[in-house]
Formats: sequence, structure tokens, C-alpha cells
Amino acid sequence: MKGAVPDPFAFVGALVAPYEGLDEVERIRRGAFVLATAPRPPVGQTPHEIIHTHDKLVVRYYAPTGDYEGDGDALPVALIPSLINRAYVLDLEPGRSVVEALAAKGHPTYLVDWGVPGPEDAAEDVAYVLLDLLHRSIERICRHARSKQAHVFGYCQGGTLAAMYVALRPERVASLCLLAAPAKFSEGGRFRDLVLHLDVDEAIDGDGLVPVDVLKPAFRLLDPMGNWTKNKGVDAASKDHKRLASTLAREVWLDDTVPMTGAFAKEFVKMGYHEDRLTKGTWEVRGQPVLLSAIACRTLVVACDGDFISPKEAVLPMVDAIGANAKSVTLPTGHIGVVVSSAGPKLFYPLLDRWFRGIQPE
Amino acid sequence: MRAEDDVSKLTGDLYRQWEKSMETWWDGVLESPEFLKGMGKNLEAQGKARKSYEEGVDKTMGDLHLPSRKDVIRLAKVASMLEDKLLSVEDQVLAHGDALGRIEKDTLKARIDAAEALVAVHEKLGAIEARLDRVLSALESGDAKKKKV
Repeated sequence: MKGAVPDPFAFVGALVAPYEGLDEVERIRRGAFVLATAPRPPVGQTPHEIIHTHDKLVVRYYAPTGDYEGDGDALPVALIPSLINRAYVLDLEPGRSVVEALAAKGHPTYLVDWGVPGPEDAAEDVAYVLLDLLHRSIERICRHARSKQAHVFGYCQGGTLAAMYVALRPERVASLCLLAAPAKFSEGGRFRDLVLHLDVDEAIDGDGLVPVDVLKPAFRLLDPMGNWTKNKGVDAASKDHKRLASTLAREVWLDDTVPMTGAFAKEFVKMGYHEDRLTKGTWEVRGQPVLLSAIACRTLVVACDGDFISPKEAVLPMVDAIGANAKSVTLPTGHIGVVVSSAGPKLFYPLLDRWFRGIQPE
Repeated sequence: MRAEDDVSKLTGDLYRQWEKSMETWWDGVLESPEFLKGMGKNLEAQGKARKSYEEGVDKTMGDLHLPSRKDVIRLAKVASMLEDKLLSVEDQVLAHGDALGRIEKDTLKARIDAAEALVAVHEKLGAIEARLDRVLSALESGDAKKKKV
């Protein structure tokens, strides 16, 4: 797949090819050109049905397509992504899809898609997200699957929210898997540095949204040179149709940031990144303290070696905070690569399937 | 080594050096409290500017007797609240449905139990009737013998 538009500077490649550094700049230019002009592939294609809607939230059901290899009946698996990114990161493209992989292994799979909030949702805070939106979604998932309990998987901020939810409402959750979910926010790396000096009361309008044009540059600043060097990868991928489609699908997702409600952003930044209340047990939701030690179900905490969005130093303290029933695994990949690169089907999807079949990680 | 190779090596070294120094520079910038504070202030200013712009537009719309963004948001909020209420009612209906389902199940079980008990009673009554018949016929045959004697 090449760019839809012919490259007017294609001739430059031949001129600079003999010169090492100039050749690299040319590859970056070509990559940027492909990125700017190539048509985007479709995302979120796994067949599903919508079983529940609540305001902008939609719960998608992916029926099992393969046989369940565990003992007894397969419990439903609820997938909870982050609120600031689109949910289709868990169903990016065929072969690179968490929902597709779980359904193929016989798990009735449900994706909680938070949707895109509008200004009318500005007052939705952490309590509303956990105790109204998520709680009702889990209830409806259990009802749809005719099951008393569900397995819960949370990714990134969705993992932190999943842990908080289970700490507050443990009844419906059989087991938990948290991927790249920050718990100790004071170890939150560059993202924490960026928000640490922010006066949230002044910068975030509690009656409005944190717009995409604020969030996107903040994410780009996490790895400024990565925005430059990634074009080399795009150029290399442009020689292979399938590889380019995967690269572009990832770009579609990276570019598709969702605004955050003011009330939620204020609380999350203040309680999490400023005051680091989660591991201290001092974060209260509707007057109830969120005690991670109250999580009594089997819990797997997955960190990634190359994660600069949720560094493993911020993720792994979740294990100590939960206690003896929590285990941890660190994978040799990055924050996004763990679900959408080849590390997904090779490492992470089998790990997730085994965990939800009751098998302990090695 | 040809001169072209030398130039190629030189440009390669220059590029790598530039990339490395840019990385170091960015790291320095993003770790500098002055930059981070400045960014925070910039965000605050952006937020304030956006708010005052929206207030200005709202005022103008109000002056023109047109519905403002605030009015539309208020309406959307009402719709959201109605949806929340509707979902709560739906929760209750589903809970009642569950309770009715349980009652129906219990009723069905009770009816089956009752039917089985009825069959058992019928069987018992049949057995009693048969025994009574036997006793009656024994009594009758006894009476007949007495009359003959």
C-alpha cells in the first residue's frame, strides 16, 4: 500500500541514497508522506452485538468462536480500556485483536466501550464512572452470560479503574487481570512530570471537557523524538502491504484521542498523580475508601519493560497493595505494542487466556 | 577509501550526532521545572481563554434570542438524566423479572410436587380400596357361612 497521492519528491531518494545521514532524513520524509496521504484501514472489525448502552457507553459482545479448553463453563470476560483512548485498541485488526483471540479460545468476551463524552457529560466523575457506568455494565454482562460472576481485564487507566471497581464492588468479579495499570502514581514517569506542576483547579474546567487539542500534544511530549523516528518505521513498512496496514491501523488509534470529562480529569490527576492516594488507601469514592487490599479474587498484574506511559515502577506496586492473591508478570515489550504488535498474539493473548482458565503464569 | 565514502560517513555521523543531541535536549527540556511550570501556566491560560470565549458566544446568542451552547448542554443533560432514570427503572424491571422467574420456577416445582403427591394419594387410596374390598368380601363370605350353619 503506497500513499494515495504520488510523491512529488520521490526523485530525492536516488540523489541522497549514497549518503548515510541524508538517506535517513529522506526515509523519514518518505514515511511522513505515506503517513499523511495513505488511506487508513478499517478498525474494530470483529463481529459483535451490542448488549447494553448507557449514555455514550456501549457494551459489545463477541460470541465464542472456538472451544473453551478450561474446566467447566467459561465465565464471561469483561474488557475495560482507558477513558482517554478509543476502545478499539483491543480490536485493532484481524490477528491483532484481544477480543478476537479470547473469543477464539471459547471465552464469551465483552468490551466496555466508554464512547466519546460530550459537554453535557462534564460532571461525570470517578464515582459515576465506577459505580454507575461500570457497575451496571458488569451487571448486564453477567445477566447476558447467565453467570453470577465475570472475569475482568483492565488496560492502562482502564486497569486502574478496574482495580478500584473490584475494591469497591467485589461480588461479581471472579478474577482480575491488570495490564500496564498505574497504581503508584508518584512513579508515573514523564506523564507524571507533565501534570505535576499543573494547577488542576485553574487548568481544568470542572464544567467542561479536557479537549483533544490539549491531550494530544501532551501524549506527543512523552516521546518527542519518537514522533520523528517513527516515520522510518512507516517507510520500512510501506514496502509490505500487510505491515503498512498494521502500522496505519495503529496510527488511526493513536490519532483518535478522546476528550476527558472535567470532573473525572480533575479527580484523577489530583488524587492519583498529585497526591498518590491509591496505594495509600486514602482515595474515597462516594465516601467509601478504595482499599486495594480488599481485592480478594485472583489478580494478575502485567507490566511492560519498555513502557514509558505506565512505567513498571508505577505498575508493579499494585501487587503489594493487593496482597497474597496477586501475581505479576513483566513482558519484554512496550505499552501499546503489548496488545497491537506481534508481542500480542505471541505473548500476551495466550497469557490472558490461560489466566482466565485458572492457570497460574510460569 | 573513496571520497564519496568519506562524505557518506561524515553525513551519517552528523545525522546520528544531531539525533542524539536532540534527544538529550528534549530530555533536558521535559525535566526542567521551568518548562513544566510554563506549560502548566499555558494550559491554565488556554482554559481561561476558552471559557471566556464560550461565555462571550453564549451572551451573544442570548442577546439574539437564540439558544446558546449552554441551553443545548442543559437539554442534553436532561436527556442524560432521563436515560439514567430509565435505566434504573429497567434495572428494577429486570430484578422483578428475576423474582417472577424464581416464583414461576418455585410454582412449577410445587405443581409437580403436588401432582406427584396426588398420584401417590390415588395409589394409596386404590390400595386401601382394594384392601377394603378384600375385607368386605371376607366378611360377606363369613356371613354366608353363618347363615348356612
